[in-house]
Amino acid sequence: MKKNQYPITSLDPKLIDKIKSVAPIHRYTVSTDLFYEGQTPVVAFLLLDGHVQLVKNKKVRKVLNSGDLIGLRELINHSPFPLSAQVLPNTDMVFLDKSTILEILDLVHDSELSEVFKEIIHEEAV
Amino acid sequence: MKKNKTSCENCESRMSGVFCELTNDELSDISEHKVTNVYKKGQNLFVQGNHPYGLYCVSRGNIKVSKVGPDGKESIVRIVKGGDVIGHRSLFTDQNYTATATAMEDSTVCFLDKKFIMKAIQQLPSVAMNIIEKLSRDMGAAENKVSSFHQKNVRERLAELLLLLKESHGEKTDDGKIRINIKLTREEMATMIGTANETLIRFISEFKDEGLIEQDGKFIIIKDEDELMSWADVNY
Repeated sequence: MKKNQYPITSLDPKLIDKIKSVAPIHRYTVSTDLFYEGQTPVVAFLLLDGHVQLVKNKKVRKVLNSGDLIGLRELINHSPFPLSAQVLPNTDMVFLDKSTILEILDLVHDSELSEVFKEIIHEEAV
Repeated sequence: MKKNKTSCENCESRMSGVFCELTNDELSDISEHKVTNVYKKGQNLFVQGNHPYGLYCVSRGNIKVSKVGPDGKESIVRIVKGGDVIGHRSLFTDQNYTATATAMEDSTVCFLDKKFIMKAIQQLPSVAMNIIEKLSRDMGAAENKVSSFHQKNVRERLAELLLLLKESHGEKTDDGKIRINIKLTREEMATMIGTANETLIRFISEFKDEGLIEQDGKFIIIKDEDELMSWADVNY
């Protein structure tokens, strides 16, 4: 797990596989704003393949890489995300809703995943 | 930095929502779990073609639900206000969203994920009943719309639209008229009754000339509801 300048967590392939086993993969076929600057994401997003960009003041500040997770800490802490996120067509993502995240934290699924999520949630805000 | 959440117990739309019959304890569970956001005018809650995440509950503001056709033209399916929910149909069918939801003004909207709302439906019969009632009303409105499009002319459809907006957004004025408290562009109104802008503008002018309606800036005021009802051929 790597930390970034922006509130993004890069997960290693083993953790990505674990997440894929508890939440389905969805393909975005149309360009969509996942959430807007200052909002709390309604779910957390894990990019598997495709293009997601973080935008502030109409400028692209960061393009996510495969395996990047965003919105987890903000969703659980109910805090705002400092940038907008846009997904482009033909992008594969896993979204984790709050109920699933709480199940993971409650060790319903996997203890390693639970530990990583706890670490992300308690990270200092950027 | 934590955001201030609107608690369900203190929500201004509490009494008109699907959770209106819950106790404060039950509502506090929902408050704890939900995500509350303010969507600025023009921001999308969800987009046609994408997978649904859960249920959106409008606390304050107006949200338009619209579909874009193959020709790129937008048609407004319905307008959702405080106390209404959106996304419930896609939630049960597990189909992708068939419409886009966009804030028409700065709006406060709460979100509950699918797993949580399904659990609430199983455990709280009043929530299930209110959602069923909501789905039934939506279905009735959709059936009325289809029959209106087939059986009524533009003038009748406009009269019907004004009466529907009166039901959802009407406020009585001091002089006994009814002000429709929502700003809609002519283009938006035209898409709601399936006509061209020019035709809509012509019929609005006719209604004004005949004393059925008047305008206060961007707001429409209904002066003669009975005459509108006779044109719309409905009983609201």
